[in-house]
Amino acid sequence: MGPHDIQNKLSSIITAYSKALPDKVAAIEQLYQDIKKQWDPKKFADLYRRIHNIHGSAGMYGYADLGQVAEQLELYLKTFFHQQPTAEQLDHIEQFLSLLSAYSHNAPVSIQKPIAPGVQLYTQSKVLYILGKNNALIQNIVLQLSSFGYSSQVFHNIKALAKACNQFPVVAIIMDVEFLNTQLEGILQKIRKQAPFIPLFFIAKNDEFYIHLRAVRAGAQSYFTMPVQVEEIVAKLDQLREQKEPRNILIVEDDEDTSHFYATIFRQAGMQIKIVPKPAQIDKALAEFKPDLILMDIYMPGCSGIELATIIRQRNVYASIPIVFLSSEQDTQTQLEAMSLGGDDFITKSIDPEHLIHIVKNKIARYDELRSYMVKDGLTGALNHSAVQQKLELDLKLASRLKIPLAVAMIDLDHFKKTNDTYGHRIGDQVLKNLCVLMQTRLRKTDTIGRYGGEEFLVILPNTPAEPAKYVLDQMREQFSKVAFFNNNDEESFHQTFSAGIAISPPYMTAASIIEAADQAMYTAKKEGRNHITLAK
Amino acid sequence: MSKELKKIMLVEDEHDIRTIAQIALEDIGQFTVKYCDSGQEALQNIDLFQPDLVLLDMMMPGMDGITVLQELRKRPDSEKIPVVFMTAKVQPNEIDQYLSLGALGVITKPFDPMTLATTLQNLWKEHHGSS
Repeated sequence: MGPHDIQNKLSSIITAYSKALPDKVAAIEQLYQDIKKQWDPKKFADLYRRIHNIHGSAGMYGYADLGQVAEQLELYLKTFFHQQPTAEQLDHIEQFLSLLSAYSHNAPVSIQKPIAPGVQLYTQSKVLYILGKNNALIQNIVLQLSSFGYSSQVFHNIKALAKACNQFPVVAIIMDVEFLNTQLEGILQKIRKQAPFIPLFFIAKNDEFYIHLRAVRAGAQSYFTMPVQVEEIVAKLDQLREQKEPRNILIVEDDEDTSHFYATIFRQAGMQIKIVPKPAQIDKALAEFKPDLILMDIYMPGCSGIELATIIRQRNVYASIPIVFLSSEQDTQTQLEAMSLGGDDFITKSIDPEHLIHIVKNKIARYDELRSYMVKDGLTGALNHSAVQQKLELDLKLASRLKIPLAVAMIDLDHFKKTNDTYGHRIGDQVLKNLCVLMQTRLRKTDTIGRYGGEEFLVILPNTPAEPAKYVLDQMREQFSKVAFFNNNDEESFHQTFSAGIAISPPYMTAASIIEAADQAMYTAKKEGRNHITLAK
Repeated sequence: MSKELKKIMLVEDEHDIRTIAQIALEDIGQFTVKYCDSGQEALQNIDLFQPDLVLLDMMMPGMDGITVLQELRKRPDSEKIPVVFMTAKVQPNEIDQYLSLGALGVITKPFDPMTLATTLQNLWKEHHGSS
């Protein structure tokens, strides 16, 4: 069977699963309704089996979120094999089922990831390999990593690590740069040949140039100097695990040969292209295609590249999209003019394709960075106060239009002033960063984390009813409370907890009312002893 | 047991996973596969089929994976057959536990059907390299 046939066969099985899914979920819902009317242990066992089936298979067919909900529900259902659920517990099951139904309507995400240039990871794995000694530093790192959901396996020699790499999906290898020697470098080379997509992270005492250079030559993907901030390692890991969306490049060029030439180069690099041969068509292309970067010829009939760039820049929404000009070698004067009027760079038409891709990728990365500064809180990377409010308003509108529930959680650290006073603001900042990264690993892509105040966070969970929202927040609360933070001398450890209030829309339909309700619920949680999650009435 | 990886016994109760595994193992890997619904069925059929490798899902109801492995190790006919576990969660202590019990390797779910066969081949080569 040729590879094409195999792919077709796989696609048809996956399509069949997706098609059968709504009926599967409907059958489950019907079973539940029957059980709710009249308890029947046989029907319950059937329900359990069907949920187990979804738990086991959903992940394989691209429904990771669905699989996770099924997993949680399956665990919950285990309690009822020996005792009938109460009315309240039935409600809880019902809410899980509504979540199940919601996720079954998502489009499946293919688990076959195309090999893209750069780093691709086994995104389902959260296992790290650490090459290190069995000392307090490593133990500390392992402990902190586990609070973010990353399991670490510590190896004392590289050969054992290399053997394990072959067998198990691993997210990254972390090692102390002091281990580097010729033998190790040789083994690392072998590892990288067999598993080219396992990134290498190094930990170093300081910034010493030649040591860092040696690490880079050994294939370092990232380099962390002491004191090791585990949140930064986790943020980098999460970044690597995320599937990067293909980038959109808009080419404004009237000459067909030129535009097709560049389109081919970009497509081979995994980017998506749209060609606009006439400058006047630019608006439609910008609105529909939403480019990450615009490549345009300086000389075009009717409107020069420079004029077009000016127009684009004057439309506020596109004020900062990177624009790269294409020109021929002779016009240095024009090139300078182009830069001053809104171009981000110019390239000559004889440029080497690899160089072009490199410039374009850098420009886009820089644009991403700048854009994020405008809406993100500097310390934690969460959305800032105004951005999260805007997002809440948008999400609420969408939820009400689609008639799906939305949960808002107001999270406030407990006795945080005391933490800052006792351990200092630097440690306090670390605690805040840590909480954010923990929340990011626990929440879905569709959820939003915002920094609402100094020690307050607002979390938006679209398509989430009350009980599941409380469940998720409670798991986060539990996990966070277990994190061991260390004081400046690494001698003393302490724990930090948070309290949270959750409000659901409906009934709260406006941003102001739902925030107020969540806030009140949060105060109730504090009054009830802190380290607690409360639902709004 | 042959020098090459040819016969695989897949112990998996979920039909939806079996259909994808079939493509991964038979169409892509070109293996001969025996499908068993449970640990019990696997133990009943192992002598007759004599697989080169057993791929065992840890998430099945009934006899759990560790028990199946231990039962296989007890019998002279099957004690040498390498077993690979399939599991949705991998903690470091679990990897250690499985390896110390004699499992050849661990595959995490969901697995990429395009690379399952290659992963099993690599594990097989490792196994034969050391014996």
